[in-house]
Amino acid sequence: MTDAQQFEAFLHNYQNMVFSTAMRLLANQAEAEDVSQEVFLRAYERFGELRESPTAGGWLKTVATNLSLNHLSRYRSRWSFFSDMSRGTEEDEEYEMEFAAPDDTHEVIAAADRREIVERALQSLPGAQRVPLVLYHLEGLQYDEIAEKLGVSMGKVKTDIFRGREALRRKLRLKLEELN
Amino acid sequence: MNHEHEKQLEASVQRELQALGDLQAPRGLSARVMGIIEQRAAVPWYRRAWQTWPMGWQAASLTVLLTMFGGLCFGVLELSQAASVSATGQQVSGWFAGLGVLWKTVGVVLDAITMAIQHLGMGVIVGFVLVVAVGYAACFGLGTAYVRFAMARR
Repeated sequence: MTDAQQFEAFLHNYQNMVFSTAMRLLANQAEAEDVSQEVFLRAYERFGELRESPTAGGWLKTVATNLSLNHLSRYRSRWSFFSDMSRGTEEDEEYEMEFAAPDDTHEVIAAADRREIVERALQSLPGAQRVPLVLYHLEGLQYDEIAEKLGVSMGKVKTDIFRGREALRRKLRLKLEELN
Repeated sequence: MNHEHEKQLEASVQRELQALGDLQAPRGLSARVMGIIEQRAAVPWYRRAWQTWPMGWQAASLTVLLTMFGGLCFGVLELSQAASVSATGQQVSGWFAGLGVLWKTVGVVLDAITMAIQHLGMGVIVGFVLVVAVGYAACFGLGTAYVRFAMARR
């Protein structure tokens, strides 16, 4: 097997993971594809080390996350990106505590459909809420690490994540109710 | 905001998001990446990034660069240790007659610096260099702090 063939196999193994990371942060397929491409071109330059490395997946995920965040801060207005939080009456409303759909809904909706609904709800969140939410829940970063990566205060990160969770819960509940 | 509510919400979101699998990468991604890699492989080695050059050429280019740098350092050292900077300057100004005046000025300045170094003593010179370094670091630090502050305000 030549180096190119080995790299192609490596690429096939990790392309979904890298693309998912970029897509969830950027919420834009074309941009996520560009970032994924750049991640793999960088990986090719270090393929000698990554080929046998057990941490290759982690390396790829970190590079995908960093390139996505660079992309967001470079190509979109940072001010609007971190300030487009939705405000208004939503914050004052009382919501039921239950987020997950009722058990019978679980039975009705196939798991794959449910994942797709969650995925779409996540991607429809504004960047200011989606990015910290993804970094916290999917990338496993702590509040202080997220604040450092995004260059904002930890208080803002906590607020944005809370708002993101609330928005996600509302969107998900609406969509699940539509299905019922 | 109710603390218990926050905890439940966090756990629910964690459960929902963790249940998400990987998305399917676009079909063309792999072909795109491999195409670019093939294109890059077709570029001659000397037009690629230095890190990707063959080891021998990397070593040779590094040796040439270090030799040039060493030669430059040696030249400057020789010049500074010459009996008189002005004497060397006269020789050089003969080569570059048009630059004579400029060179003389430089020579006078260098002579003054040499004289200062000889008369001031090492302590004063080290102190002066330290003051300059601290001043530079202070300017750099204040500039960085200002930029960060300005960016944070945006």
